[in-house]
Amino acid sequence: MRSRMIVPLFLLTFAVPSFAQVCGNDETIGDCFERLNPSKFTPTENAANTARENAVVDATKSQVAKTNTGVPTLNSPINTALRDFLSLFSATVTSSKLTDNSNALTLDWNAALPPLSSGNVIKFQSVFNKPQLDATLKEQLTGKSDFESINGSLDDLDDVQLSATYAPTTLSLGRALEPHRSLLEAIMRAAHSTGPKPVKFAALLQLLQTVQDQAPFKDADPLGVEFGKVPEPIRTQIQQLVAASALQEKAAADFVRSRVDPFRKLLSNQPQLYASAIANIRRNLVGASGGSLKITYERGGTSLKDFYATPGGRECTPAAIRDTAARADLTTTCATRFHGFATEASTMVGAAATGRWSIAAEYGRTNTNIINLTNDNITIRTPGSHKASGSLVYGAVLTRDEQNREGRFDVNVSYENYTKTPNLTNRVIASVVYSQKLTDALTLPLGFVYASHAVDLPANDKQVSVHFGLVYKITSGGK
Amino acid sequence: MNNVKIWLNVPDGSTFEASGSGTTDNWDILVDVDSDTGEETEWSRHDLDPGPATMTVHSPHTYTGRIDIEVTEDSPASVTFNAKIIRPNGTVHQTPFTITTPATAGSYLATVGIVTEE
Repeated sequence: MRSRMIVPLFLLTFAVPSFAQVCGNDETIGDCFERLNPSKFTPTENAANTARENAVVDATKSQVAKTNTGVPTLNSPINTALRDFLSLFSATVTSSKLTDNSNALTLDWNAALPPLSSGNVIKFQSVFNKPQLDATLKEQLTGKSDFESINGSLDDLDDVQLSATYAPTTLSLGRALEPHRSLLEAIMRAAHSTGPKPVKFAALLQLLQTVQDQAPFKDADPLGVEFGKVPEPIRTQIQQLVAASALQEKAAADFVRSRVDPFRKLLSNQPQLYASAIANIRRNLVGASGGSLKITYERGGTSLKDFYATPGGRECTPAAIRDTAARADLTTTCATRFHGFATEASTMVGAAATGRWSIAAEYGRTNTNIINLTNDNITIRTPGSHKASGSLVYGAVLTRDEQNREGRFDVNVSYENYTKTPNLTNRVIASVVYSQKLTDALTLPLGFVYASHAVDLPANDKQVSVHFGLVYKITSGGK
Repeated sequence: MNNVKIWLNVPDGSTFEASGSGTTDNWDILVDVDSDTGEETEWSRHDLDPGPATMTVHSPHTYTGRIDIEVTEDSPASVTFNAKIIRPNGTVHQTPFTITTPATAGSYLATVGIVTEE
């Protein structure tokens, strides 16, 4: 452990080139510092004046995860193994070919509402399916004079699915930061206390203070002073200290990053458990209304949950770290234990795995539907039904472009059991979907779906359909 | 040069004031200020958001500070950090320091220095 730290510190101290050659006379102190220690912050012309503008611009720009979570629609046949509870809002338009009625608009809102604690959200989702006449009604109405008027009376609210989903956020479940904040802060504190100290920067400050009453520093921002205007021999001394301090600060930043990056990855891999209540609200001309309850568990590669399960990690719960009596010792101890866990070969392999699977169980009921059109002498009574279903989804990230935008692949198999409803036949649905992030905000899903029977129909009619769509996601604005 | 800031000639008894805010909840921050006297001041997110966190600087001393903003992957916040020196008479000394991260997961570090009048 100690040798891992000594080597970079040794290199930092002795492997630095001739500093006088590093800062040019045509550079300012600030330009040289930034060239040797590049900033990752959003550039600003005048930070003081533009801070407010930046906040607004950044809040409305594409503040979206690079992570591709695919189609958000809960009961879509082109589901993915990763449900997004972290974006603020998303809108999805999906369409299908080879089937009649799969065009849909999905609106998805992750709401952090009281009394839920920070990090906990309820996902509200509305799916507006393109309404189509009930298949039996359509058959009986075809050719009749009022077919067009009845068909034309359908509007966008005639086939709607509403759902609410709760995903608890705990140490073991959920991908939000909040339950793990104490561990992150322990890792940050330890990284700052063990990484390179800003001793060169302190020396630079003291040197600059001695010349601040002389030209060209008098009444100027020292970072804006050009080296060429600084008289020798002080110029060379400042150039050396600027270069040394910039490299020291870069080494410190790299050290902190190396300690926190594994935490970020393991947090993103956390399992999720969520329960959904789903209501299908349909006009009787379209079909039967109904509802269902669904519970889903997702699991990916090695995550923070696995750290807390280790003997050392068990003592590093947020409550223990927050305990001020034990905090000083435990903060350092837990950061060390986490670093040991994160750098184990098995953890690194497990954390790098992009595969994620989900398993779900659902129980649903469809109401009896009665259509009575006296003018056409049509009466259709469709009895209610019960459905129990299970599904298994496996997905993995296949591609990641230069901007870290993901392309993911998901395979979904579900089985719907209608044992309590003898007039319906059990069915298998399988899908393969590839979704690609086009921009930070836009995702394009493309899926192939196989169903052994059409939904809610007894006919033995195997179906294959092609689904495609567009997902737009916004993450900003919520806390 | 928005990852470094230097305040020179700061009057004795001035106040270093800092705060931070993010567009989502998935971020944290640590500000670590060391004095040449050996005194250390550390602020975390609950001190800075909404803040401001404050400390008084004394002459004749040098203070170095590191700002470490950590943004996690989903959904990454755009974080803005503000700092300024307020003289004992209530006016702002030189110019404030403001940095904003892009809404991308990662570690964002900046360095600040304060030297008080002798």
